[in-house]
Amino acid sequence: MLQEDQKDTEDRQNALSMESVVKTFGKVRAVDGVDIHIKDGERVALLGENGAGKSTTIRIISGLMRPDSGMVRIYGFRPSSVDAKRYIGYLPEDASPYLNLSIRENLDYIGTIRKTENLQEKIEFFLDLLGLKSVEKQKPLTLSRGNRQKLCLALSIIHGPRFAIMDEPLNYLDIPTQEKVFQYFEKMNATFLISTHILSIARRLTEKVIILSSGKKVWEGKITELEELKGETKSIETIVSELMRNVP
Amino acid sequence: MFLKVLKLLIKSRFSRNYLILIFFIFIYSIFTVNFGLNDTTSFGSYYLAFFFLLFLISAIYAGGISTTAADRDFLLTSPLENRVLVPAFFISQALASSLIFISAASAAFIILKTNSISLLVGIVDIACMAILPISMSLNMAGLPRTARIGASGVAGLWVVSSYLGFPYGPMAFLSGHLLQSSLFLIMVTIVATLVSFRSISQESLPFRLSAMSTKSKSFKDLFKFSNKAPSMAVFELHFKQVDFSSRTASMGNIRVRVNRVSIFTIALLTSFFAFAFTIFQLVYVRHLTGGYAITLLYVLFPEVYIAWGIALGLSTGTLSKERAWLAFISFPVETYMQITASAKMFQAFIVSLPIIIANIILAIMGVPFTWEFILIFAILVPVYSGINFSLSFYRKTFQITQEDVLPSTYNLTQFILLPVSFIMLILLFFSVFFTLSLPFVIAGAVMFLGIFLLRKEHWKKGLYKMVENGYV
Repeated sequence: MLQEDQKDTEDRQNALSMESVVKTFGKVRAVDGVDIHIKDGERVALLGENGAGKSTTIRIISGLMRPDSGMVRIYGFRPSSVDAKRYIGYLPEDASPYLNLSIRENLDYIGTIRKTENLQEKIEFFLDLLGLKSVEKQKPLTLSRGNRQKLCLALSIIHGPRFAIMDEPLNYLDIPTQEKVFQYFEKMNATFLISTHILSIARRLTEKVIILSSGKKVWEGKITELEELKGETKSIETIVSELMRNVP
Repeated sequence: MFLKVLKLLIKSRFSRNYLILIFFIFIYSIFTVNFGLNDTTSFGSYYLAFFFLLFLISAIYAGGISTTAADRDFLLTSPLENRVLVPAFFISQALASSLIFISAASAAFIILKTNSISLLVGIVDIACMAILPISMSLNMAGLPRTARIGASGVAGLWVVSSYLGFPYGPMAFLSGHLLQSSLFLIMVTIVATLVSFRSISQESLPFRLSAMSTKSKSFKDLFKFSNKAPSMAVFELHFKQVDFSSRTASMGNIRVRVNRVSIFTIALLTSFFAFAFTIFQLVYVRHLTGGYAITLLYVLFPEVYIAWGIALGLSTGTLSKERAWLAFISFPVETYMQITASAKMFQAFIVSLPIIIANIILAIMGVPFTWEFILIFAILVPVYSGINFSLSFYRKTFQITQEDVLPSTYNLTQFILLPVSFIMLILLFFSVFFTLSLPFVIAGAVMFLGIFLLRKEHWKKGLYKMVENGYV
C-alpha cells in the first residue's frame, strides 16, 4: 500500500509516466512495451525511423489513442481525463486548424474553450510573433502550408501548457520564424516532448533523447552522452542512425 | 499515346461508387416515370428541363474540367502535346458527366416513345444536352464570376423560354417545334464544343482545369468567442454557422472548398421553399385526382428532399472542418459531441420553422398530410440531424490527404441515395400507413439518438477509431 502511494506521488511529480505500453494494429506492434518517464520541466526529443512508433506513442500520451495494455499518466492523471488535458498542449504532425474559421477566430475559439487568461493579449502576441497579423481575417485554406503550421503551433500553446507534446513542430516554417519559435520555446516554463527527424532541432530544443525502433525503446540518454558516443570519427547522425537500427 | 492517356483518365475518374450512383439515378429516373409522367405537358418535360438546367448552370458557374492532384503533378508536367491531352480530358469528362445526365434524363425517352421521329430527334437532343455543359464549362473557366453568373442567367432563360413559346428553346422540341429547337441546340453544341477545343488547345490548358484555381478571401465579419464559457463557445459556433466542405470526389477532383454560411441565410432559403411549397400545394396538388396515394407522392417528393436536405446538410460538414486534435485535446469527447449535436439539432429546428409554419397554414386550410410533415420537420429533422452528426464516428470515413481535411462522412452519393431509399420505404406504407407509422419512426429515432447522446463510451470509442484511422 505504501509502495502504491509512493508510486502515485511519483506519477504526480512526473510530467509523464508510461510503463509497458503496447499498441498493435493488426499484426503490427506499433508500440511494443515502451517505458518513458519525463520529469516536470524536462525537455525530451523522441527520435526514430519512419514507422518506428513515434506518432503512435505521442497520440497515446495525448489521450487520443488507447493503448492495448500498459499504463500512461500525465501528472498522475489518465491522458484522456479532463485533468490531464488541462496540462497538455498538443501539436500533431501536419496539423490542420478549423478551416471555416479565420486565423483570428481560430485563436479566439480555441483560446476560449481552453479558458485562456488575457486571451486577446495572447492572440495579438502570437499574431505578431508568427507574422500572421496581415492575414488574420483569412481562411486557413487560402494560406501557405507554412502559415497554417504557424497557426497550428499557436493553437497548441496559446493556453500556456505545462506539458507541450509536439510532432515535428517546425515543419514548413521559414528560418526566421524557426528562430523566433526556438527563442519562445526556450523562454516557456514547460515540459517538452518533441518528436522530430531533424537532429539540430533536438539538440537546440531538448537536453534528453529517446530513440525508438520498431516500436521499442532502444536508447535513452542525454544529448551530451550522444556527443560522447560519436567520438572523433563519426558524426552524431551516424551514431543515431546506428542506434535506430538497434546497433549500438 | 492518346488512347493510353484516355484510358488512364477514365480509370482515375470512374470509381465503383460513381457507377453505383449512376445506376441508382437511372433506377430513380425510371421509377419516377411510372408515376404520372406520360405526357409532355406535365411533369415529364419539366423533369428533363430541370436536369439540363442543373447540369448546364452548374457547369457554366463552376467552370473547368475535373483533375486529380496526380493529373496536375505528373500528367500536366509530362511532355505530352495538347492534341493528346485536350481530347483525352474532354472525352473522360464527357463520359463521367454525360452518363449521369443521361441516367437522370432517361425518363424523357419514355415520354418520347410514342413517336419514332421525335424519339430519334430526342436522342440527338439529349446527347447534345449532355455535351453542351462540358463545352460551356471549359469556355467559362477562368472568367470573372459576374460573367459566369450572367452566362448562367442567359442559359437559364434559354431553357425556360421553351415553355414561353420560344421555338428555339432546348425543350421546345417536346411542344411542336421539333426542327427549330433541335437544329438550334445542335448548332449551339457544335459551336460551343469547337470553341472549347480551341480554348484548351492553347498553352493555358492547366489554367482551364478546375483544380488549378486558388482564391484568397477574407471574412468580412468575424465571430467573437472571448469571455464566453467554453461550452457556450462550442454551442454558439455550431449553431450560428452551417459548414459546407466539399470535394468533387466522384470524378477524382481534389478541389477542396470550405464555406460557412450563416443560419439566417439557410432560414431565408427554407422560407423560400416554404412559400414555393405552399403555392405548389394550393395551385397544383389540391386539384389532383387519383386519391391520397398520388397526393402523398407529390407532397412527399419535395418535402422529403427538403427535410433530408436540412438534416444532412446542416450536420454533415460539422466534423469536416477540423482536425480532431483541436476539439478533443481541449474538451472531453463526450461533452464536445453532446454540445455540438445539441447545437446542430437546435439549428435544424430553427431553419425548419418556416416550413412548419407553412404546413400549419395548409393544415388549417384542410390540406391532407400536413400534420405529418409538421411532426417530421419539428421533431424528426432535428433528431436526424443529431443522429447524422453522431454517426460520423461510426461510418467509413475518407480523408482529403492533400489538404489534411477530414471531410464529411456522407458524400454526395449518400446524400442523394438516402432520400430515395426513404421514399421507397414510405411507398411501402402508402397513405394511411404513412400516418400510422410516423409516431413509431419518430420514437425510434429519438431512442436511437438518446443511446448515442447519453453513452460516453460511444464517443470515446469513436474518437479512438478516428485517430487510429489516421485523422489526428
